[in-house]
Amino acid sequence: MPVQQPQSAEIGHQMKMSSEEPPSGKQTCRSQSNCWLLQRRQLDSITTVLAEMIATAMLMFLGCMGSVENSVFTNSDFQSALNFGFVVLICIQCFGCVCGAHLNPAVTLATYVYNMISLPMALAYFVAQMVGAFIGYGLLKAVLPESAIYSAENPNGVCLTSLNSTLTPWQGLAVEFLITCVLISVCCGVWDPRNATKQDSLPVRFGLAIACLSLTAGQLTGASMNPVRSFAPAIWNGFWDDHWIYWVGPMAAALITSVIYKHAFRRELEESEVDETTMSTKRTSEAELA
Amino acid sequence: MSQQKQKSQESNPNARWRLEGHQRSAIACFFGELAATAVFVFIACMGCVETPLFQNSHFRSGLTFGLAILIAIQCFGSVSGAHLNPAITLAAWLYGAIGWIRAIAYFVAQAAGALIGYGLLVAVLPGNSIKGVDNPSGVCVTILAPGISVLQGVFIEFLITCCLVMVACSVWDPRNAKLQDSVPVRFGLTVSCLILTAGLFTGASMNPTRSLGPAVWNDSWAHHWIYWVGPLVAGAVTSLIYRMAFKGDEEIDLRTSDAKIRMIGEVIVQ
Repeated sequence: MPVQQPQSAEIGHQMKMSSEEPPSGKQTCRSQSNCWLLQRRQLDSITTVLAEMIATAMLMFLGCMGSVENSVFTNSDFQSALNFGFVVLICIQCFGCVCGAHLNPAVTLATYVYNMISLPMALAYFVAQMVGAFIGYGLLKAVLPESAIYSAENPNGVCLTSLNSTLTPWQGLAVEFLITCVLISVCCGVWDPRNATKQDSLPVRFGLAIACLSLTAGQLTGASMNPVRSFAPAIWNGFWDDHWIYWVGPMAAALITSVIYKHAFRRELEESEVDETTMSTKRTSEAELA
Repeated sequence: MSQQKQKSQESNPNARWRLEGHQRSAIACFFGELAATAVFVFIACMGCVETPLFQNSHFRSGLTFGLAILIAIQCFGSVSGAHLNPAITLAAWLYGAIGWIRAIAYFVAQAAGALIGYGLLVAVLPGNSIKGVDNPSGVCVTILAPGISVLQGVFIEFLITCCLVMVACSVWDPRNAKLQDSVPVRFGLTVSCLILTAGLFTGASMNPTRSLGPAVWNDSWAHHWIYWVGPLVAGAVTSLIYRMAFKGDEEIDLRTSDAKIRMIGEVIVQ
């Protein structure tokens, strides 16, 4: 309450200022200001969606290039999994402050559930991610030789997510669901108001989290956690076996995890916590003096 | 007259001190950039050495490269910004982060640093570690893989350097002004990723001077031009696009969660 009062006071002050202006000047300033704000906001929205598209294209291009494996280009599951985590680091670093760098419809859905994004914007993000992934994988096919895209190790195309032959589809679904639950939990932890001031190493945290999940489940299901990440290689290569589990698993996990986290774990920042932060600072300074 | 003389004498020391301070800072930037590039090339290229006696792998050398970047940025990031790369310097100039005189000085420092760094490597390792069966062109020389055409190579270098420059631009973005602690880690892992991604195809140079050092010392110039054209064009194009389309206006205040509340409010209003 005390924190909110100053804001309301400021608003009242601004209203008074505007009412004091002459009528003609008042109208002119208001209309110009509104027009400018509206245009700026629209432009920002377009830029945001464009950034999300480019970020997803980067994810597909770099991530899948790092998965290329044939007789000439050596690779390993460990290397490609770690590489995917680092790719996410790059994308979040580049566009985290522009559009949040979701890269993933599951994350976008969780953001919507968390009330951090509007429905139209969420849908725009989804389209941008689909288009971006498609472009990214297409770019990869354009710059690499055929033997790098299709090889003995990847007969259906590089970076295709497919089930390990020992898993049943339902087991694959469970794996995708559970690892995406972990991913969404990381996202919700980042968005929690108590972490609002702890954003510095966000790209590193996300990147290493993705690397861990990729290393964990990469050999079982490809560790997609992301419908568009599986959709782009599938559409470019015409390979759709068990494709549905890469949509159902992640999206269900995003919905369930974000709802649970929002109602069970999320907390607003309280005045006492702010005081505690100040107190700890004071104690530190006192210790230094002593 | 005597008073005037005293005044002029008093003002002289201050002026000298200020000028010296400014000059000292500029000189520190130049030599910081030179030392940073030398450290980077030396450590990174040593991590690429592969002979029947010293075993290595693409994964290990890729990771080493990124961690070498981390070291260089951690040591000299606050001195000169630790660009290490003419493409980054070009991007910084076009982004408006530095002036053109300083950009040229950085370029000279980077070229000199790369030559010195690789020279140190040649001096401290046996001859067959630099050139041998595993490295006919010389260790750490960037070459096109068989199956990759020259045009594809240029394109790959261009695209991965675009990603690197985008990381740099986002670090310079005003909205990230307060998020600087882990920049060395972020950059280091970024470079590791890009080398793990494209290292087998083109060597993933992303850096003209990094390719210049090994090329000069080993006299290996095959397709050397693509490691200048790709990265520099990417540096120019990406920084201009980022500046026009994505650059933020103001620093986001993170002291309280009000910033987030405001963002949510704005989104809802939309």
